[in-house]
Amino acid sequence: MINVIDSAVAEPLTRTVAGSGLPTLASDESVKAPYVQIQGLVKQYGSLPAVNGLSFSIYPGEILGLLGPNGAGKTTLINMLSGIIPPTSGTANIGGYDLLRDSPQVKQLIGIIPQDLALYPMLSAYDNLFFFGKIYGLHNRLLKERIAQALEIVGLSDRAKARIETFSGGMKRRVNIAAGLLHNPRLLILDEPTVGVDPQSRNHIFESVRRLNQEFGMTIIYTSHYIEEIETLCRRVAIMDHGQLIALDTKEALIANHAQGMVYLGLDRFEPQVIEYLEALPSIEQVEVVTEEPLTSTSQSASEVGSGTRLRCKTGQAQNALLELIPAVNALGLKLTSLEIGQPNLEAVFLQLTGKKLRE
Amino acid sequence: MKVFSITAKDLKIIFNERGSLITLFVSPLMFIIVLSLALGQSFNSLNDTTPVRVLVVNDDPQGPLATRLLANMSKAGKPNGMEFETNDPDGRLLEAARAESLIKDRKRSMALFIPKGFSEDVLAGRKVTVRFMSDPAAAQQIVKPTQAVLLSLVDQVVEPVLLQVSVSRMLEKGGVIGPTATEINRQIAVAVSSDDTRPENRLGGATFEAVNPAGVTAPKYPSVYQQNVPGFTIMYIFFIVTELAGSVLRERTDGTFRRLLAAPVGRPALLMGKLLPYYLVSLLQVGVLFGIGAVVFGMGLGEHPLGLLLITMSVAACATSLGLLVAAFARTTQQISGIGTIIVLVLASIGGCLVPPVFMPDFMNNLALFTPHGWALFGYQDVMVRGADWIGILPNVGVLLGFAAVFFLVAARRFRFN
Repeated sequence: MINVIDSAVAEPLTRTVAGSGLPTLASDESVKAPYVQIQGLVKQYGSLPAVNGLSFSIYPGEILGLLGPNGAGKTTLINMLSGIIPPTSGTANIGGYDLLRDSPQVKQLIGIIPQDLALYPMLSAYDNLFFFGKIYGLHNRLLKERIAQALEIVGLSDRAKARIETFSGGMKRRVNIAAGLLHNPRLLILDEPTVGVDPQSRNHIFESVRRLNQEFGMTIIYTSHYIEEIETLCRRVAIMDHGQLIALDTKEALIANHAQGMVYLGLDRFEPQVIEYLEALPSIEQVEVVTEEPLTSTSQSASEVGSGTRLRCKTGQAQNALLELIPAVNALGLKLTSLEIGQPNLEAVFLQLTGKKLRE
Repeated sequence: MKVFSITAKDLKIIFNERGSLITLFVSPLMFIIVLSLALGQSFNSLNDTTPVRVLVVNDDPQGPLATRLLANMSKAGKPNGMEFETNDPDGRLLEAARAESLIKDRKRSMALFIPKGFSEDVLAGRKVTVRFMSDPAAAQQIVKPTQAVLLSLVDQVVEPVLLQVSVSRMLEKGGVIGPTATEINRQIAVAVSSDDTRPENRLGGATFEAVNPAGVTAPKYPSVYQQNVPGFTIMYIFFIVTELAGSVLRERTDGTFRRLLAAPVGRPALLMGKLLPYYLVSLLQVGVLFGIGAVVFGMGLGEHPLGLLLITMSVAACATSLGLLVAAFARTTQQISGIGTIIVLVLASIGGCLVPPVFMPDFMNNLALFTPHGWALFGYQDVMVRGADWIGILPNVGVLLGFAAVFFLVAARRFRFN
């Protein structure tokens, strides 16, 4: 068996042959052996299952997006994979090591970038990295090289000696990432790495994640509440809810299989019979009263007048639905105040599968 | 080795936090200085062996009985903690007016006046008056016993003479004269005389001897620094409780424990790495504060520094374990602050760190033994004041380690990293 720990300790961060663009594993992922293989993973707190029988694989060199509403079990899954908490049952194989039996080896393979800014504010960036490097068994020249390299990756080489408490939120996030890279992990888990950061730092974090994947060949699990981050970085997306995996596929396949078109209607007033009337139309599958803002980033606003009742109409054929909805509203004697078409996208998939918006 | 990495990291954080340094090192030093200045006089009186000074005006300088009285006073003075002055502060023979003015001026508080013709009057069987003058403002706890001793000394000189005079008169009235009467008088004179020390002429009589209960030596009291330096050092060692618990809480809330748990480091190593720096800081506190006490304030450390070291290591273990216990139960900084303040102030008060045990009633001294503070303070003072060696303070060390073990075991059962 290859001793991964030795190779991680002995050399600077391991570069792979640089790829071009995003990972191109889709075509050959079926022939690659999975880097992470999760089998029937369960975590139960009392009688409440936080993670309930998860089984899926992650392939080497992949960036897997992990989505789920709050309380879906994402953090519990990450805690189990990184050895922070033991599973109630089930197991996982990571890089050829068993999660439970080979815990020290698995921990050496995984780099975790927690959602919290898990740093010591009273220490400098360098001292923080020095400490975490020591914890992973790095010493002397190699440790110094790794610190320099990690700071370079996150673009903070010039602030190494400054105390963390003097950093902006975005800079802290970047040091938080650097701390997870020192031991040259092969599987990097980023848990909401861009929460509360400025656009500049966010872009920097994006670039760092891409670089770690392409240049250093790290397999990455990426969770975020920003759907555009997942869409930009990840080729495959796993969606969790109530502790279970409810979908796992490429973005395109998820949209094709699960997303429905949405038409948002703004009406001057609400009549109870409206929903039943509209649901009877041939192109309309379901009508709901909504309170949240429309998906403005991916929708087209026909008009924006007033703030009366808003209805969300699910449909498989947006164009036909429009042709049916406008006469129906006229027939009901209601006034149309706004009209928007929501394009099928990942957020629509999420909404469709979980019944919730991602940031709820 | 990872234990030492965690320890080094925490030490760096502690020494980067000025607030912590002020709390742990500067604050106790300020208390020691201020309260030692305030209480210094009270402590000085505990060990005060300065003799009580009494002026003696002798207006019968040639009289044999006055001479004998002064000789007796000189012999009795030291054992009774008294010093008799027959000359004024300028070296001149003391006169009555001068003695009275010295008392009026509060330069002296007591004087004894031997009147003119004292010896002659006593030998003739006439009544004499010896005056004792004292400053009304002087402490009556000192004046009254001194007066009693002086009265006794005068009686010792006068009464035998009066007895002899009285017996001679009775013999004369009874018609006993000649050699028989002379021999009776001689025998009486020898019996009552304190000058004749020949064994064949001494009668039995009674002697007075001051002794202590068997096995009990005279108490020794600490100096103000031997109380305040160990007292406030112990009190501030226990401030480690809030520092340690606060640090653990920050590791939990900031997510650094979570990050460390994901690293290849065992939980026992993580826990020990978290405790060790605070243990070392406690040792450093004692080193710094006792060092300043000894070097700057001249505090005596006793002859057995190993005893001090053992007490220090034990009380530091106790404080660190108690910090872990608070960390195991507290969930917020407010809880830590509240619990920590109670622990620091209440236990320090009961344990004799704030109010010196020598000024506390017996039941409070017994109550102090329910706190680690009390055992530590008595242990330190046993070494510094009463000459105990390392064997002598083993009971204190044992009790302190017992406290530490109980705190640690309860904490370890309850402790959660996240």
